[in-house]
Amino acid sequence: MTVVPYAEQFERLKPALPGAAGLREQAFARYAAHGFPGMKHEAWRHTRLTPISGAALEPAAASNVSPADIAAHLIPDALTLVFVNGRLDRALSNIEQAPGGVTIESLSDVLARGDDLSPWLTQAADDSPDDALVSLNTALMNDGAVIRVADGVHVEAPIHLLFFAKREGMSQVRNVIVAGKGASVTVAEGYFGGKDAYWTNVVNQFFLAEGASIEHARQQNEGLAAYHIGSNRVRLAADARFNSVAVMLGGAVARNETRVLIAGERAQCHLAGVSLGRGKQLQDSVTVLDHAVPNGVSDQVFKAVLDDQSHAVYQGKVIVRQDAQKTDARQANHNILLARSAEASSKPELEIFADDVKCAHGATVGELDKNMLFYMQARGLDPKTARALLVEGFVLEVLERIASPEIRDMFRTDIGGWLHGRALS
Amino acid sequence: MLEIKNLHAAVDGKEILKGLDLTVKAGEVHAIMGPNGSGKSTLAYVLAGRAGYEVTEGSVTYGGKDLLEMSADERARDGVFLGFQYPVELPGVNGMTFLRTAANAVRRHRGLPELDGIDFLKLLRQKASLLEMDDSLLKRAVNVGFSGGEKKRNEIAQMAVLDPTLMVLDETDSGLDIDALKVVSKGINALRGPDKATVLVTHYQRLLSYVEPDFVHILARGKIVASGGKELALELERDGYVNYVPEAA
Repeated sequence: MTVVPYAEQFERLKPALPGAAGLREQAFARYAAHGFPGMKHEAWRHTRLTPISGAALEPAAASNVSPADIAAHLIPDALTLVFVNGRLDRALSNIEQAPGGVTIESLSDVLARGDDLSPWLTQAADDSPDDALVSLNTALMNDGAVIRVADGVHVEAPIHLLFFAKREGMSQVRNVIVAGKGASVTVAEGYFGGKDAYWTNVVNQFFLAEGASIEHARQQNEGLAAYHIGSNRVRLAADARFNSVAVMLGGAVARNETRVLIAGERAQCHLAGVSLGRGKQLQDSVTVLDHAVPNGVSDQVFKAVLDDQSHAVYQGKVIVRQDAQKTDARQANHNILLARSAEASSKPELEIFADDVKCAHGATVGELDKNMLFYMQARGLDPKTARALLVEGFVLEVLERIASPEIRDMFRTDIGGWLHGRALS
Repeated sequence: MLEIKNLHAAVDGKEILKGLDLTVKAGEVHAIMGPNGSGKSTLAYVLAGRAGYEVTEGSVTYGGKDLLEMSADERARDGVFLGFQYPVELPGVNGMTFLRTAANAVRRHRGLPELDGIDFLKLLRQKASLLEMDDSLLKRAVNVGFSGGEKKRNEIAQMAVLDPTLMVLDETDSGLDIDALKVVSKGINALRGPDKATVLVTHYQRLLSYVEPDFVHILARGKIVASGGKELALELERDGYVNYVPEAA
């Protein structure tokens, strides 16, 4: 067998990786059976990974950030975990303030003390080549957050996972979030980095027991030379609700993939995303909604605003299995090109095996409306301001899905900053 | 204030205005009437600076400046207001944010301090009450889901807040019931003044019963073919355009 990227790293690093030795070996074997996904895999067709697959990266060296570096990214009154180069910085985190019924721990601690997380961790990937980088993450995972909310507990404070990348190299992050029966919690993630070329490979697993509710907000504002591969796995039991909004601004190549299994009846899944592209960025949003049981609801709205030669991809698959009668699944993807050289790709896929279901999808690609721009100019707005207001209006529908006003404002500020940096004329 | 000389303008290569002359002095209200397709809306768009309305000949001077040299937004900041026949919906753009951004762009141009949220709200309430307008409309996205009458009232509310010098109102009376027409007319009249001028583009005499013009012009086939006082509008109401546009018979 040919040598796959990261084989040498895995052999060398594994003695020092925290716990789960057997699981890591199995996962690496699964990864090695396929290696990196690429052009030949439909779901990865646009995601050019050669810079991180060609010459394997080393783990990013330990580094630190100052309280001043992170201040602008904090959510008031949140339970915050700060990770620098993929490792928890305890001094900057306040997890010991978690209220009763919630445990928030470092994955590294949990694995090192020998807790068996494999019942959770093994659910993230199967043998498909599409899952190879999730398996690689399982093999190399170094740290992350393990959050467990007990049955019936409502966590008021948002739990905020903040990731800062300060050096070249890779971070293999794994977060596991388990919400017990009837529990509710808000989990926000933020990714920020410098100018170095680095790779964040993060896998999030969300498990929602019966009637549980998770509000999820994701802010990906990595450095412009970064590679960001985010893989979310969501499992919903009966009557559970998952509401997720992802804003994607950073990275040279960035991917946010969310796979949802509607495993219990009447579960609801709401997924939304905004991509803002510039330069030669590639921003890939991939969703797989698997309705396995009846009466499930899913709706998705993904939007992209693309400048320069940037490229946004939306691939949304909805599977409605034979038993999943009365499923209501909606999907929408809308793109605005600010430059003729920008590109949007939209690929809805519906696989419907039940006969009594509602499934709708729609996709658009266009420029900012000239009538609207003229109307705004006729009221005295210069073209740049007019365009910025229209773009803000375009993405508002997505931001309004965020339940927390603090998080919504934070995302809006990010988007405002992006618009401010555009010529938009 | 506004001097249009021998204006020729084309849309998609087709000449619509064919040598139009019009002089509007401060304090005056001019009504431009004419049958469909005579070039009324083209004149309004040319004055506002819409892309695609190409001036091929002639000149337009506004307050001593060459209006045609200015971009649409420069004209608006300099006091030219176009009230749209079909106000445009702006999804996701909050009415309050939009109007405050516009008002502050105009104020900066006039060398006035910008208004903060509270001062702007005060100004808005004052103008909205003048128009008997529910200011909840302004909390919604601009014109989205508004009725025809609400859109026209919103135009006049914007005009009141922006306080323009030259008001060009394109078929502002179309689609209004009599109550809305009265309210909109009241708004227009409130903005009349010795240092302001109004150009009303309209198809019907109806609006002119409420906003009394100093001059009425008939636009046909791209030119002003007759000018007179308000009695001209009454004559048109009675006889139609037949005396001015033979094919209208």
